[in-house]
Amino acid sequence: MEHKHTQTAARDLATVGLMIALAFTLSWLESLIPFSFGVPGVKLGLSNLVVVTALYALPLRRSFPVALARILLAGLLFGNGFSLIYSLAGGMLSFGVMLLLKRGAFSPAGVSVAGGVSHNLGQFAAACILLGTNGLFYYLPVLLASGLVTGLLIGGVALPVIRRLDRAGFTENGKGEEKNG
Amino acid sequence: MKKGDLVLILGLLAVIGALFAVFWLPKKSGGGAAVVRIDGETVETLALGTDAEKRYESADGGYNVVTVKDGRVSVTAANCRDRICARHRPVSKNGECIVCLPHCFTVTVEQTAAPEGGVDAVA
Repeated sequence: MEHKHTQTAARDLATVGLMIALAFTLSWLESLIPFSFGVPGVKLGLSNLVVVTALYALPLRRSFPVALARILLAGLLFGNGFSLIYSLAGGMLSFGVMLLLKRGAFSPAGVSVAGGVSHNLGQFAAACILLGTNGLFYYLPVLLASGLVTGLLIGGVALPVIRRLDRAGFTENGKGEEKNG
Repeated sequence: MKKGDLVLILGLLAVIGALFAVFWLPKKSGGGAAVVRIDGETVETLALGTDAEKRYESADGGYNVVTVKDGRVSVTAANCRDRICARHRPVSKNGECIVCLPHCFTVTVEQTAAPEGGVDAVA
């Protein structure tokens, strides 16, 4: 049993690759769904499921590349130059906030909610700088509300995934973390 | 779910509610003009009192067509990727805004200093 818990470099690399591929696939899947709320920036953010999971299952030096690579890949293939800037601003702020809250008194559901809201907040800040108009504040409450709802949905799915990875001894701290869910 | 999660969600709901109250409730008054901006620069100010239809070119051959009709402004055509701007409902109240992110294009309804109908920017 003991060797199962050993994190070898090869296993880490394979896990990171797998997670990037998974996030990329989810981004692609989402780009196929004709979901539009009529407000720019509002979307499901399916690939955030992988980032939340990676945050709990992998050490920081492995989870950060997953978060960054999924943004760059999806931005280059499904977006354009500007959407990449928005995704980067949102994704990086979201990752930082989730990393901080993970250490606090929050379950993956709360961390995911904070991630969803801060993602939209980062995008909003980028849009304010790029578009140079204060009319955007009209959209802010809608963006935050959508981040809350999608974050809750993603967190609800991530919770059982992380619990199962924990039980399988797959996560950073083996069975020690989140044992009571 | 932990206790912290509930506190976080309730806190966020309070913030969102407050933001809705601040940015959505006082918008009852009709706006004076629609301000068109590209890349943050004000391109044109259209009086809402005068019907008009104008086409605005942005970088890389992009365009948005802005229509003012019955005191309301909308984006009626655009060649951006997502067309979120063109699907947006017409706006007429102060602070309301239509955004086209791919073209860095915004139309914002504002209470301008110029009296209604006094803006001579309409072609």
